[in-house]
Formats: sequence, C-alpha cells, structure tokens
Amino acid sequence: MAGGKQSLVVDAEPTKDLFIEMLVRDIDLRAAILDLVDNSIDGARAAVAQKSGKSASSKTPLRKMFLRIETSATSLTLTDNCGGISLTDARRYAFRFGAHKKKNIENSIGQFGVGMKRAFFKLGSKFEVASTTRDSRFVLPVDVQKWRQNEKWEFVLREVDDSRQPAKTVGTAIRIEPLLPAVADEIGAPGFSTGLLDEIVASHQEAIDEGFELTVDGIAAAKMPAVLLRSSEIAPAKTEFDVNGVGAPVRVRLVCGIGESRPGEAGWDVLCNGRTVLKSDQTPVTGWGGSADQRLPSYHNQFARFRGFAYFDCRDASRVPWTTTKNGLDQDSPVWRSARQRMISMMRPVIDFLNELDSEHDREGSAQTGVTLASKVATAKPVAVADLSSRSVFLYPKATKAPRVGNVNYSRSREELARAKRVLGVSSYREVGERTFEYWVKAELD
Amino acid sequence: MRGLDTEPREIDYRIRPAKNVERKMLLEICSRMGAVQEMSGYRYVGMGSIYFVDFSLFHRAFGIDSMISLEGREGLMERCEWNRPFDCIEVRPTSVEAALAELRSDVPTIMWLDFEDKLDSAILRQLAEACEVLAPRSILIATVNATPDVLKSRVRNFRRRFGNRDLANVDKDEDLGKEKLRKLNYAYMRQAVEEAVGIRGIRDGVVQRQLAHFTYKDGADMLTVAWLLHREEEAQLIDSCGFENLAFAQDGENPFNIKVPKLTYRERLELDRSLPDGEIVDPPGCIAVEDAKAYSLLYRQMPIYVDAVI
Repeated sequence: MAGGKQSLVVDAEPTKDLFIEMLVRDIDLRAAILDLVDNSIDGARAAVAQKSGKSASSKTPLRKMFLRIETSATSLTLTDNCGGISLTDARRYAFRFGAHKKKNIENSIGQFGVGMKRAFFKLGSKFEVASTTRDSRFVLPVDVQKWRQNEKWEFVLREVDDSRQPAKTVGTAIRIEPLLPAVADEIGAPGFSTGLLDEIVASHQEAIDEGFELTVDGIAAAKMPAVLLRSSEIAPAKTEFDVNGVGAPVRVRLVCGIGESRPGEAGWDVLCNGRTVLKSDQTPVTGWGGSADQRLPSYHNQFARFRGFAYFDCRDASRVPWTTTKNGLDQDSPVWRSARQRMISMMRPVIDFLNELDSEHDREGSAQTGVTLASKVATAKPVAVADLSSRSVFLYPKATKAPRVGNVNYSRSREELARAKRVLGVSSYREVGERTFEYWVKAELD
Repeated sequence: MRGLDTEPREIDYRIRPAKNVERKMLLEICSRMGAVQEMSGYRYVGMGSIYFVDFSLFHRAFGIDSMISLEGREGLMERCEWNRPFDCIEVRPTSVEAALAELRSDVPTIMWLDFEDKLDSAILRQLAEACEVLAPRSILIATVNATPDVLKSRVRNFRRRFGNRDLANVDKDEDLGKEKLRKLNYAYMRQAVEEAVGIRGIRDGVVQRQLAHFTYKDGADMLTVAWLLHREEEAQLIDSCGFENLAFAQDGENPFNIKVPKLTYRERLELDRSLPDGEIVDPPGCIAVEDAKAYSLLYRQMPIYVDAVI
C-alpha cells in the first residue's frame, strides 16, 4: 500500500446478538433462576443487617423475608420483600454488565454482576422489573427484541419516584413474559416446580433454616436445621476461627459428629456465605480415603452416622472457597486447604468411634457386659448445630472391654456333686463349679 | 502386630550410650524454651514402653506433671502400667496414629515420636497430623530407624513404604545406601512437617523451625529431627532462646552425628581436665586424636556406667 499513513477505524463494538448469545450459552434454565434467588437472599441479608445495624452474616435471622416464585406456561414471576433495588444501584450496578467493583454486598452470594441480566435473556423475550426501596421506586420494562435492535447499550427506567415509600411496598417484583419457547416447554412440564424447589433448597437450606420464606407455586420450602447427636458422653467437635489474608478475614466454622444412620446424608456439607456448595460429600475432596494423603478410610456405610458441616463466611465474597459459578468448591483455595487439614483431624475420632460401634455390632450375640455403645448412641439427643458449644475434639464413650475369660471344665461323680449341691444350696452343676472355685479363690488368693 | 507383642522388641535404652547422649542433648535443647515458657507447664507425650527413660528424665528435669505414653501393643499394656515410674504418667492403650487427633490441646507439648521402625508414609502422615494438633510453642521430635535394608531388597521395600514416590530418583538398590537413605529420610520428614505447618499457618499463623538433626548408631542407624512450632509474630522472642548457641542444635540438612568414643574412665578424667577450652591437639596417653575430638563434643552428656548392686 502506497503512503501507508492513513488510519482506519474498525468498528469493534460487540453486537448485542453476539453478547446475549455468549452470556446465556453456558447456563441452564434452573441455574438462571437460581441466580435470581441468590439476588433476593443477598437482598434479604443486607436489608436485615441494615435494620439491626450490624454486618450481615449467615447467622442473621431472616424471619419475615420472603420470595415467591410463580410459574405458568407463559410466564415466570418472582416477588420478594428483600429490600428492593435503589435507584443508585440500578444505575450503577444492577443493570450494568459486569458489576461495579465497589458495590459488593457484604456476605453476598452473587458477586459477579451478571446473574440477573443473564437470567432475563435466558428466559424470556420480555421482562419487567419493578422495585421499591424506602427511598425510591422504579419500573424497568424491556422488550428484548427491541433492545437488540437499538444501538445504544442502555435501559430506560420508568415511573421513577425518589420520594419516601411505605415499608410495606418495599421489594422487587420480576415478571418474565412471554417465555422463550424452549423455556416455556420446560417450565410447563409436570414436576418442574417441585424440581426447582428441591434445587433451591439444596443450595439455600441455611437461609431457609434462618427463617427465609421461600415458595414455588405455593409450595413452601421446609426448615431442616442441621442437627447432631449429643449426650453427657457424646459431643460433637465444634471450632471457629478467622483466616486472615488479603482483605476481610474469612470466618470458618467446623462442626462434626454423629447423626441418624442415613447413608444419603452422611459426609460433609460445605457452605459459603450460607450457600451449600458441597452436600453430604463422601469423597477425598473432604478428606475421605482415596486421596493421596490417605489419612482416613474411604467412605463406607458403617460411617452412615457421620455428619460434618463446614461454614465459610466473608464480607468479601471473593475470599470464600467457591468456584466462579458459586455452586462448586474451589479446592485450590488456601482457605479451603487449611480448613480441610483441620477437618481431617476432627473426623478421625468420629471415624474411630463409628468403627468401634460397628465392631460391637459384629460381636453381638457373644456375651456383652455393661452398657453397649449402641445404647449410648440411642440415648443421645439431636441438637441444632448453632446451639452446640465449642469443643476441639469429638467426645465419645470408649468401649468397655469385656474381661478376657477362660473356661474350666472337669468331671466328678454325680453323688459327690449332689452332696455339694445340697451343702452349697444351689441347683446346678455349673453353680457348684463356680461356688467351689470362688471358695478356693477367697481362701487362697484374696 | 497389635495384641501379639508381649515382649518389648526394643533394647534397654538406659544402657545405649548414643541414645543416652541424644536424650540429654534434646533435654538441653528443650530447656532453652524456658526463656519464654515455664517448662513445668509443658505436657510430655512419648512412647515410654516399659522403661519410661525419657519420661523420668523430663519429669525430673522440668517437673512436667502431665505425661502421656502411647502404647499400641495390647499385650504389653499391663506391664507398662505397672512400670510407670511416676503417678503423673498416663499410659494410653492406643497407637500413635489413633491417638494424635485426640491429643489436640492448647497446652504446649513436647512430643517425642520415638519410632523403632523405618520411615514410611504412615509415619509421615503421623508427623503431619502432629503438626496439626500441637499448640504453638510445642516441640515435635521424631526418631526413625535409618538403616539401609539388605542390598537386594532395598528398592522393593522402599516402594512398599512410600509407594511411587521419587520414581525417577530411586530405581536402583544403590540409590538407597546409608548416606542417600539418610538424606531421603530427612528430606521426607522435613517436607511433611513444612507442608503440614504451612497449610495450618494459613489459618493460625503458626510456623516451624528446626531445632535438631541427629544421627547416631547404637546398633541400628538412627535419625532424629526436632522442630519447634510457634506463632510467626513470636519469631523474635523465640530467637532470644538462643538455640544456635548449642553446638549440637542443627537447623539445617547437615546432621550432628553423635559418636560416643570408647574411652576408659581414667582417659575421660584426664581429657576432662583440658575441657571445655581449646582443641585437644595432643591428647594424653595413647588416646587417638579423633576420639579426643569426639569426646570434646559430648563430654557433658556422655554417661558413666557403673555396675551397682541394688
């Protein structure tokens, strides 16, 4: 090319079509809805924390906070009272792509600032967000087709009102209608609501246990607080510590002990900022055998009573050990690796006890002296994890070893034995043998 | 093995001179912690067998009254219990492996895992677990048998003990000769401790420093390494203990070899008169220079045996 001094500007702006396509490609329908649920629960925690004036944590009681999800063949609506989206947040954060760095809700589960928009594009061809805080309200209706055609990367908030709003109206209502055809098929299929509810509960049992009311098509999620068995002789290990590092400290709580014998529930639950990222794990990930360091046996049903809970909470959501998708565990996280080493150490006595319990079971039928371990477990009562006191090592009763015995066997004439029976005042030969031996022991040994 | 042993396999440690010296040197190293920590407040955890030599020593020297002896051999339990020299010693009928998690405590502990056995991955795991459960200011001491196996079975036994570790470096029996084996054993123990403390430190800021590295031979080649666990912010305070002032306290990969020279009492008394000052260049009598030098390194700890009628 002659000269070569001229410049040419190439239009590198992404087209919205490409952008939307990229955004929704790797997410499935339920995960998209779960992102919206995450937002509501983040909002609930923040709202409650603001009210009580302290920072949010997964211990925050979420009583009176709710999220109602309704599905139909053509629409999906989510209605909550979880604080609403402020005008500032709507402008600077909620409807921008890629969250503003500074706006990170403390102890949040949604940290990447794409969830909500992505869910909308994934699910429907039109959506509307109506949100009210104590200080403002707005409505954002979007026709996705029209938005695609518009060159500008902007959303227009309507019915904007920055006056004081009544407390009762605070919250966010999202309506997605009509749904995309494929989405409508899936949502309309029988069993969708219960399946969705199960999935939400699997991730958010902690929030539900703290009183968060969640319903899908009128079916309410049930509270199922984590419990462990405790008695005067059996007590779970429970420890709390902060892991420092760059940024806010991560609060780690580790609890482990025994529960009811249910193979499906045995193992470790790992929760990050209240969200379950690992459920009833029985793999080397949480220290069970098979890993390179092999400190513990592999999971087996004799450990069906094992229960462990690992909670990680941090104001800075990027420090808790989860993957960027928030639904998996980041095994390389230093916080996780350090906690895991402690978890393995905490598990060991529980495993030892369950092994003893198992071998006691195997011995059944042979003479058992004293109170069995099984009967001690039976008298232990379930106690909610939150109500347990700290103790560094699992407490358990040691098996009372039956004294080792031998048999003495000899024969004597029946006349002799009959005389001995009379004198001793007993009715069997066995007793004759025992009494005469005791007599000798008393006379010669004691 | 459990339940079958009714005789201790180990020899009577009281009369093994190198072990005797090592014990006193370790005692002296531990005593340096006295600059920052009341020694009688330590807990002592060991493997006392039926002799409890180390228990007696640490109890007499420091007045430690919380002492736990781990005894995994069921058949020996009764005899161990009977032989406890002091009432403050508790014998736990459990293997080291099973005991460690329950030994977690906030009390600083001197824990001597004095294995008769050769190092294997199980022992390494136990060292790692010890690093996890011991309180800051605890001292962990590990002794293993580092005698090479008979030439033909070295690699096979190594694989049995360590699985596929160091596949590239260890594939000939010659790779596991005395010196190479010692280096490997040391490196493995060191790595196990560094890793475990490193991971723990993320949580609670605990770090480790090596206090001792001994080799000696009382029959078998033995290797002992000791570490102190402490909070990182206490590093300066720990410096004030002056471990490095003890010539036998080695913080690196070169061991202090405890070599007990064969000397008569007369020879010892004569050498003592020129100690501790100066090098013995021209030892009296027919004492070899190297014996005299060896003696000068451990004359304070070297035992004097007398046959006594009790």
